[in-house]
Amino acid sequence: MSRGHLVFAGALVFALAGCINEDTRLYEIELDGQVAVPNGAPSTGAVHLEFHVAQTFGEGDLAHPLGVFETRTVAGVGPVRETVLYPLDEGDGLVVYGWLDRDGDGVLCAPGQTEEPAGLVKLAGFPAHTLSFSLSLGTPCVGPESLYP
Amino acid sequence: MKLGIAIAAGAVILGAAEAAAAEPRTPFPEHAALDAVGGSPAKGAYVLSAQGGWPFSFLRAQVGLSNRITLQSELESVVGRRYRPMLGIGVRIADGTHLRLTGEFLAGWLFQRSEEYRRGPNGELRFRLAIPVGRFVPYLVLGTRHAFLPDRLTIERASGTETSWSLRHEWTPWATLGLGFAISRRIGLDLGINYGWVGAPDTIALPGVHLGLHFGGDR
Repeated sequence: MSRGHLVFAGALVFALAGCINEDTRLYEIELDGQVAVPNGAPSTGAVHLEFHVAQTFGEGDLAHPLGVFETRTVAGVGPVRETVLYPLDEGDGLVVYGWLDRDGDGVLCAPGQTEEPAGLVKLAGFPAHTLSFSLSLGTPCVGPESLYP
Repeated sequence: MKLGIAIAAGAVILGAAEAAAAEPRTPFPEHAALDAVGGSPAKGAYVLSAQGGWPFSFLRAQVGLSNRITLQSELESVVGRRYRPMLGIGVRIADGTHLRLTGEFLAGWLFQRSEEYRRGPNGELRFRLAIPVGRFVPYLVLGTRHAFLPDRLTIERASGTETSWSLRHEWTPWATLGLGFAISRRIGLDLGINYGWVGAPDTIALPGVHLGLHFGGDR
């Protein structure tokens, strides 16, 4: 048996005998952002934020845009500072989606209810441990899949 | 005529009874089928078992170190995706003409290569109850298996990388109900129904079945 075969056999045994089951790698990002609505539009209510990978890993049909990995709710429009843990093995790119909960029901635009504005931004400069963004909530009643890509 | 038939029938019954009396209730006190399904062969004896089935299949070797203690090695496969090589000891707890009760403790490693990887140390405690009746050996196995699955979490922060480990526990209660049969003292068969509830109680389990061939010797 050649040395190459021995190395291959050793690597195979080592791989089989490994003891790691779930190996989760997270990347910490401090996000410094500004959430706004267009001038003159109502701005009262909490803002629900979703943090997505821009493109999930996968081949063929298994590769798809957007995959939420964290959600937050902040008191209202204005400056936002959040720390998120990005799953490195799930996708690439970072997208922030948000919507304004004008009626406070926790549901985006239920039938017969108030129109609630939403917006999405893809962050430039990813990956970096500190990023900033500006999110404008200007499109009523849309989910992230309607805004990206 | 009727008297002749009655005499002939009586002779047949008498002959069968004499034959049964001539052959002991158990044709050989210890045999491969009993050692395989009841566990714990006597000192110096060994038994090799191959049990194929769905979804569980087994290869097992047992060697009697004394009349009570057995060294055993086992490899279990689940449809070629999950393997459990184990090494352990068996102890003959109770032994009689028509009963054998054995306790077994095994330890080893779990490898599962499928959509979900499962790897880690694994242990099992089980009891075997066998009731030999002639060449047949009805048997019951009850066991509890525990696998420990390490997970790794790595967080890359601006200040550095932090790694932590955690351990998940996978419990598999086990039951087998089967029937062994001694072809000869050295060769036996068994047919059994397995109920291994992998990942209990959060999962469901389907019963399985196996057919085994056993070979023993050196008694």
